[in-house]
Parts: sequence; structure tokens; C-alpha cells
Amino acid sequence: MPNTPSSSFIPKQGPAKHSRQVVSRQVHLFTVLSYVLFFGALAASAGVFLYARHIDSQQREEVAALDTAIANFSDEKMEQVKAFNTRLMQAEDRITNSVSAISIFEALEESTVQAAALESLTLKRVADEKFLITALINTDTFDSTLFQRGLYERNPVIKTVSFEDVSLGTVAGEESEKPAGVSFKAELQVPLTAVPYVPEDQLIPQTGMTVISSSSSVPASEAVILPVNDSSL
Amino acid sequence: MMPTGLLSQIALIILSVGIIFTYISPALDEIKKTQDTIGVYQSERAKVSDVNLKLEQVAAKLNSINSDDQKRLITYMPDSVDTVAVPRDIKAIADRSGLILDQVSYVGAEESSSDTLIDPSMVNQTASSQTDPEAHTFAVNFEASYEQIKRFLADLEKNAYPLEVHDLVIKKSEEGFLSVEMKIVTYDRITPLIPGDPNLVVPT
Repeated sequence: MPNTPSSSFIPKQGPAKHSRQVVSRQVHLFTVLSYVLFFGALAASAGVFLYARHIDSQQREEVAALDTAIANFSDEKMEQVKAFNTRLMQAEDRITNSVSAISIFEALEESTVQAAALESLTLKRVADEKFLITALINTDTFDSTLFQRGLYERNPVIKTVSFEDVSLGTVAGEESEKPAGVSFKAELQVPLTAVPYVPEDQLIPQTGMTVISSSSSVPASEAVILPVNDSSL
Repeated sequence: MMPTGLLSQIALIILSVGIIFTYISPALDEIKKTQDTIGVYQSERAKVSDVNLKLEQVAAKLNSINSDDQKRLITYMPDSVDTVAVPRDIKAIADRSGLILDQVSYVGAEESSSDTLIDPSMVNQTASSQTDPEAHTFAVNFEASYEQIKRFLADLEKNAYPLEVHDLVIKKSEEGFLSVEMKIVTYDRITPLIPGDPNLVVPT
């Protein structure tokens, strides 16, 4: 006859004793967790402490490197470069705005009819913008005056033209021997950009003279542009 | 021997939490700040090194400029205008043009290039005026023929430093000559002001 569990001579575990063993395991796990947490915190503290020291050391090295880099900056060289740069910029500024006063006179020569006599000429430079030209001119007739104005207006160098104080019978020179004519004040504006200074080595050789053709209302004899002679001024 | 009691385990956990919150966490915050600071230092050091390198390159480039070119530049834009040498040069130019000077005199200096007649629209251009050179004006009077005046003006234009005609009055004179009054302007380098400090001038 086979032995059944109930007929064993070995005492069996009761259910109460079995449940006590489970409680014992839970306490052990809590203990392990608490110790792991504690030693982990200690280890982390040590690690953080050492890493903080390393970081501080790295910071000191960076500060030292920055100080060295700053010390390597040469004030003298900087001032030298700045001074040169300023000089170069200012020189460039003046070169950019350098003009040829001769070009203005040449433009006036090209646009002044032979019948016009300049009594006086004033030229004023307005900043780096333009020249204001004021000329007291005598002509023999109103037609010549109108023709003169047209020539100035058509000249590409002259931007604006204004004739004022036009009068007949008075001559600005106050020379009684002179026949009565038309006198007027011409105010012209020449932008600086219209008369730039070009060094001679950059000039393109001219192959011929420029002749301004006559307009429909101008007599052909006066259409050829003549330079102002000395006696007219 | 390790304590195994429940109270001691709870005490360990409390101690651990205390260590984490009172030391580890603030220390980590501090480390993060330090790392940020290191990042800033590295960035600034890179900038300084970059400036140093560029300065070295520019200085080397500057030193490589031909000495003749440097002399020409200094002649064109000197540190200061010699108020004796300039009238001497003007007289030499006048002599070469065949005219006789009545007067050459130094009028004065102005800090802007827009000297003789200032356009109101130009007044607000203060930023660019910081780089404008200082203008020195000379008054010149003489009598000459028209061709001599043109020759004189042409020679002024060819000068090694700027001799700009800013005011010119030509009137008829006796014996067919023309009476000329002109203001000639030349320049010297003016030291720019440091932005933000209008009174501080960079020493040269």
C-alpha cells in the first residue's frame, strides 16, 4: 500500500508558519534597498565632490588661458592698424571727392558764346556736393542772352542754370565807352560728380575736338563753341 | 556589523535622502553653473584668439606695404598740416604757372570737410563726420591772365597732397589782367572718437 501525504510520519508545515517566512523575505528586501540607497548616496557624493574639483580645476585653466590670450593682445599693433586705417579711409574719402576745377572752366568755355563777356566769376564749393558758380555777364542782345542760357542748360556738366537781374542798357563794368547791352547774373550749379579729377595717366587720348551742333533756333555762325578769351573776363 | 532593524533602515533611507538633497543636488547645480561659466570663458577665449589672429594678419599686411606707398599716403594725409610748407608749395606752383602771388596766408582749421558753405541737409551726417579729416584753409590772392589761372589750377590738382579750391573769385583788373582771390583747402588726419565716449580720444 502506497504512502499518502496524510499518512507520512514527517510533520507537515502549517499555513501559519509558511506565511511567516514570506514576511521575513520582505524585510530583507527593504534592508537591501535601504543599504543600496545609502551607499549609493555616499558614492554619488564622493563622485560629485571629485567631479566638482575637476570642473573647478578646468575653470581655473580656462581663466588662465583667457588671461594669456588677453595678454597676447597688442595695444600697440591695434593703434598702429587703427591709425593706418583712419588715414587710409580719410585719404580715400578725399580722393573720391577730388574734383577738377579746370573741367569747370573748360565747361564754361565750351558753353560761352563769343558775344558774352564775363565781368566777374565766383565759384564756391558746397561741401562734397556741388559747386555754385555765379557769373556777371554782358551780352550785346537779348537773343545772345537766350542763346547763352540755352548753351548752359545743354551742357552736361552744368546741372541747374538760373539767370537773374537781367537788364538792358547797363553794363556791370561801368565803362561809359562801352555800348549799352544786356547784363545779367548767371547762377550755375555743377555737381562734384560731373567734374571728377582724373590723373593724367588715366586719361584716354582724345582724337578730335568736340563741336556742339547748332539747334534749330540758333544761327549757324554762333553754334560753334568758342573758348572765352582773356579780354572777355 | 550592519544594523538590520526597521528603524535603522528607515534612518538610512532618510540619511540618504538628506545627502541627496543637501549635498549632491546643490553640488550638481554648482557644477552646471561652473560648466556654463567654462563655456563662456571658452567662447570669449576663442573670440580673443580670433581677434589676435586677425590683428596679426592685418599688422603683417600693413608692414608688407611698400614704404614708398606708405610715404605717399602720409604725404597725402599727414598727421598735421605744416602751415609754412603748404604756402611755400603754393608759391612754387604759382611760380611755375608764371603768376605772381600777392598774398598767401593760413586762415584756419575746421573739423569737417564741408568747410566753406555747409548745406543744412548735411548737418545730420554726424556719423560720417567722425571719419572726416581736418580741413585747413589758405587764402591766396594774385593777378594773372586767364591761361595762367588755368595752369595754376591744373598744377594744384596734380599736387602730391590735396589742394582743393573751395572759393574762387575772379574779377577784371587793370591792364587786362584778372584779379583772383581763392581759398585753398588741404587736410590732415583727424583721430576718430571712440563710439560712446565723445571726449575720449585714442592716442596715436
